[in-house]
Amino acid sequence: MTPKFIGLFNYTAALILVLFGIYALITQKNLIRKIIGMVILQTGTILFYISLAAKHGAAIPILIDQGHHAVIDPQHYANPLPHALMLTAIVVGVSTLGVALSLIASIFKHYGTLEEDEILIKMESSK
Amino acid sequence: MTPENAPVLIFLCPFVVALLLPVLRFDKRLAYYGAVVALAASAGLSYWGLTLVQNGTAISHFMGGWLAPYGIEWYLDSLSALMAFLVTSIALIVVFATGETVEREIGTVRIPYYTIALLHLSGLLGMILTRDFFNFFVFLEVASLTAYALVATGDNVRGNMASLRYLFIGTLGASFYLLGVGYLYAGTGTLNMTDMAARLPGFIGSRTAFLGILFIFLGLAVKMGLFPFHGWLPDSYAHASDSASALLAPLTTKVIIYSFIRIFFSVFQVSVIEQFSLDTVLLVVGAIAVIAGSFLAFVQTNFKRMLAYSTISHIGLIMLGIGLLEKTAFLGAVLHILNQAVMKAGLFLIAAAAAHRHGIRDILDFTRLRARMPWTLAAFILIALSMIGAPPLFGFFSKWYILLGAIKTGQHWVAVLVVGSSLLTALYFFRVLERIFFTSPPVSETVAEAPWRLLACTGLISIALFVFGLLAPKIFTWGLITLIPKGL
Repeated sequence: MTPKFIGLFNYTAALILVLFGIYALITQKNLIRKIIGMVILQTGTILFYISLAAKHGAAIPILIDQGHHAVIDPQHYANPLPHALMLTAIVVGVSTLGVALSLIASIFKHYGTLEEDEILIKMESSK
Repeated sequence: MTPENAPVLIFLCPFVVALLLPVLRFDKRLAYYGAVVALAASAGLSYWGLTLVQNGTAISHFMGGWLAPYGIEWYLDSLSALMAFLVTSIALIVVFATGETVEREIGTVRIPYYTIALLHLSGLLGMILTRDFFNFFVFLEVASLTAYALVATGDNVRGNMASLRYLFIGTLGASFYLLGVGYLYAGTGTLNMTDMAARLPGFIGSRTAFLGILFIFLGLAVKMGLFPFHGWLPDSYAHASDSASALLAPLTTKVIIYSFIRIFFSVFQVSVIEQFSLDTVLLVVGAIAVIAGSFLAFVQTNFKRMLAYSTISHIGLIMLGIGLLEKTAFLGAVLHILNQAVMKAGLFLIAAAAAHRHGIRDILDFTRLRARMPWTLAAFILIALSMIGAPPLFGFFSKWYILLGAIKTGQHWVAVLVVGSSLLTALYFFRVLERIFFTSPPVSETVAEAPWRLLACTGLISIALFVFGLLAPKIFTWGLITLIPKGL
């Protein structure tokens, strides 16, 4: 397996996840399924960033004391920045998920259903 | 208080108080006063920041002393100082004015409400001041998450449904933005906006750059409610509580438009916009938004929903001004951001005032305003005239400069559209005024004005429209020196 193939495989997977997430977000009528679509979309984005930093046979970017003349060659290390960024993006994703689930809980309490079309019908009739 | 700290101090005032409020929960009134004091301090600091950079200089603050491009840079120049001052002062007026409204609508959970409102404003300020693409994403999401919560403060479950839709569409927009930044980061290896601007020219021809710019454009278009992506906006503004919509409507979309200007004009720059024909896209989308938004505003019966569609149409007008790629029109668009924020704050405060004591939400009921709230009505007429673009008022000048720009570049159809947008705005505001003056109220009613703070702030905004109207040519000549991005 060549490193180049690994890279392309990652990006294809990220693309499929993103497209699948958007598809679920738009077409699904059940609110929980929409949320699952949203999370898949975010996961696709995260995979894309992590793939940017993937490197075959790279070391972790920690400087080990090798005396005063240690030379650091960036070629040997995986880029830590996308990982750090994605930690933040995961936190953002979790908060979004939390807000969405609490909204859904209050909607379910009121309408007794999570199907969007049924909710819309009940909304119309309560006008 | 060294000048280098100005960008951070502006942000810290609302942010620190937002974090303190949940701790200081022994008195509910403290939340209101805390929010007002924090925003007043922040507005004062942004005014100080504006005086520091009024000559077109810029102040950089490096977070934790890590120099750009490795650390996160915060940046205060004329445009961001102007926006920071706009956001903090409008927020101060709105939060101060809606004291009673919040008590009525939010009731016992006032402390979380003010915490969320202040966090939303600190998110907006972070977006205005940061100079880092990923830091911008974080503040975009801070502002968005708190905006979803603010929309959900409406008194019925419709607010929650509107909020959930806003959340789905907003997350889609944020993910697009993040993907776009990923492409640009992969190509340039930097997230700092200044550094990105320096490295982009070598890589702009590639497909990676094209995709990155496309995704960032789509993401911001979704978040600002640009025409085909405006679906979340009317429901959110109409079903949010009056206090929350008065805070969200004038500021949130305008700050995203500012970020659009910042990213596309000072990072990607005009040559890139021309290369991808983004100016044509903006003109076409803006034109459709102006026409469709106005007609949809005309058929609404709910006052706040009408204002929401009016926002969509005026976002289109701002995009027309930007898309002309001409100095006068660009400054017209910036002025339009300012006066839209001021006028929409006034209009949503009037909506809150009408609903507060008398429960007037429908345009059909607005005739009761004539007997009940004469002063609010007077303010409404003034702001409506300014929205239409009557000459001495602030709303006239932005349209005038966009018009001049359109004629200068020879895009006469845009000029026709700007005049047409005034007529369309007149159409839906005269419909409300006709309802007020040419139908008699069902029963005889006595004067019962809005609470004094609400009334005073609405009055302040209508007077401000006169003052800024007189100052507009001065702001324009100042803007010609300081606000015009490179290459325009």
